[in-house]
Amino acid sequence: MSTTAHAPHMDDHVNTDPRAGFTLPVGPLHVALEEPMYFRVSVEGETVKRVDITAGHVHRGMEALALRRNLFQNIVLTERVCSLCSNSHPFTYCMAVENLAGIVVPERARYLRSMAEEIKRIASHLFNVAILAHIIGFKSLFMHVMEVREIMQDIKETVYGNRMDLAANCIGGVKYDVDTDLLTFLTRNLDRVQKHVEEIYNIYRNDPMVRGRTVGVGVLSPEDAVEYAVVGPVARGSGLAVDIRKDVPHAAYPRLAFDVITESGCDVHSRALVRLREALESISLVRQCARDLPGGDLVARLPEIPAGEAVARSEAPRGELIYFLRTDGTDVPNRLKWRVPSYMNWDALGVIMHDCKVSDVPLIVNSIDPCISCTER
Amino acid sequence: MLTRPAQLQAKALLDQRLPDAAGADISWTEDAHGNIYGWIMLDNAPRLAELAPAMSRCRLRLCTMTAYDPERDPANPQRAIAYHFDLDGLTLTVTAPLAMPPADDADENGEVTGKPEVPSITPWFRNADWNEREFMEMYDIAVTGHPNPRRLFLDERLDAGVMGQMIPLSTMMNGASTQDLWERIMSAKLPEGTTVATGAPVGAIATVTDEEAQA
Repeated sequence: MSTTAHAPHMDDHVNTDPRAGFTLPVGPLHVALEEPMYFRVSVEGETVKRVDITAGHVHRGMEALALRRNLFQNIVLTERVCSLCSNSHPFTYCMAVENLAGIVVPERARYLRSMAEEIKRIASHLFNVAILAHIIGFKSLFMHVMEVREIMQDIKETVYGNRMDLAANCIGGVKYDVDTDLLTFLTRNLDRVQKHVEEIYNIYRNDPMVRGRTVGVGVLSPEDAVEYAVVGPVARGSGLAVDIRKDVPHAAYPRLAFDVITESGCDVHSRALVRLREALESISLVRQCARDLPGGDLVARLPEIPAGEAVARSEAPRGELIYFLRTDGTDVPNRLKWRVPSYMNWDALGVIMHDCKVSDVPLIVNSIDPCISCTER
Repeated sequence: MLTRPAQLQAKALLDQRLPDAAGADISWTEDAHGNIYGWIMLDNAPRLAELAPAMSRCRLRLCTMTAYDPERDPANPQRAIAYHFDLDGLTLTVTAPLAMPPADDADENGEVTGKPEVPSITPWFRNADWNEREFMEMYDIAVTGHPNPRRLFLDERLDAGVMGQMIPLSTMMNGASTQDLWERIMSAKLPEGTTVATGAPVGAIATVTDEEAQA
């Protein structure tokens, strides 16, 4: 564990009285995080008693920038909020514009939007569980999961021309299409991924080493999950059946069959299992989109965007993503606000980490699949 | 649509329980998928303290808050906050206009010193904590009764209300800030009693002793 001295607020220095416990700085640069976040962890012996989070090391002020871009330019901007859920941002932003202007997206575009979302979800979930294996020192599993994820990266590169930012969405529809060859390529590769993910799921569910490090670790009770209003796999890992794809029907989801995945263990293990089972559900969803893809237009005719307010929500890989758009009749938003799923889950770390072991801190942080790029948009 | 009945049920509950506490009716809209959106415009921000307990009893979940300037007029800044909630897939947005401090609160430079205020809703919605801290620092809004009003993202040394400021990249990167930076670095590195001469070009920092500076 890093105890780097780059942490801010170092005046809250390490307490050297062992009876009173210690304050341990973790981060802002840490091996388990690709992005900076600072945790001031108060410990008694090896047991964590309190966690204070200091954010803001890479805040970019993107919401201020969004008020200086027109409605079209903001599609490009929002796709760059985050790489792992990069599709969810322009997708939800476009839905907010469509809700405001009463634009009805063509059926084919709805299916293509759902397809892009689910392809990104599979890759994102695999990345998170791979990092879990990395943290617990299961290097061969880490490498294997990343190798499987690489198939998803190849799919993205082949279908969309890019491994992370898909540029799939536009106001009123989508900017990409798939032909029979691409659909065949897609479904063949999904067959490969599915076989591997089923294997990986069994390893995570049953392997004694994985279970030994993750079962009963980082517990978030269903009551605390409601209290802190956590979202996504963190909520579903605590047994809450919340999923915006079901609760707020959008894109092609009302026409697709899928289950909301929950686990009841409320721990790091449950959250990992939720992600792996969801990856399998997403594979099924992509297959349904490919099978049932209707013909027709890719984009609706656009009216003038009136003054008004609108909200749109989607289920990003990390949970509920909400966009609020306010316009004043010009082509530049009066306000564009988005709340990312990680934002809701950070605060719950204080509860999740309480009474955990110091050595489990990186594992627990990873279990909420934190996105600092999103949080510090 | 499977969830439509749940949203309709939520709509009926909110119509029954919230208008009295809000002092306003709820207006309703729908999107192309039939999802229901409720909108409440409050008369004033203190009304939130009456409405929040009623919303909490309805089991609404706070999704987020949006602070903004309704008129987008730098010469006449206004503030409002939109609070976004969820109940069984229904989205409710409650907007509270904030009273700006009177102009006679201005200091000797003509700058208004007070801040618009809003009551904290953390007693009823635990997850309001981060949201309220964010608009405190980003939009310079005071929150009364917040349990932990420390900075969330911005360093304490930075002014609040940065989201209302536009600092072009060219300004950020020009020599003025670089010179200030170099002066601080050189001051820290030089022996005690030596200062950096102001106005020296970057790369040609001149140093003077205290005695030379006084002379």
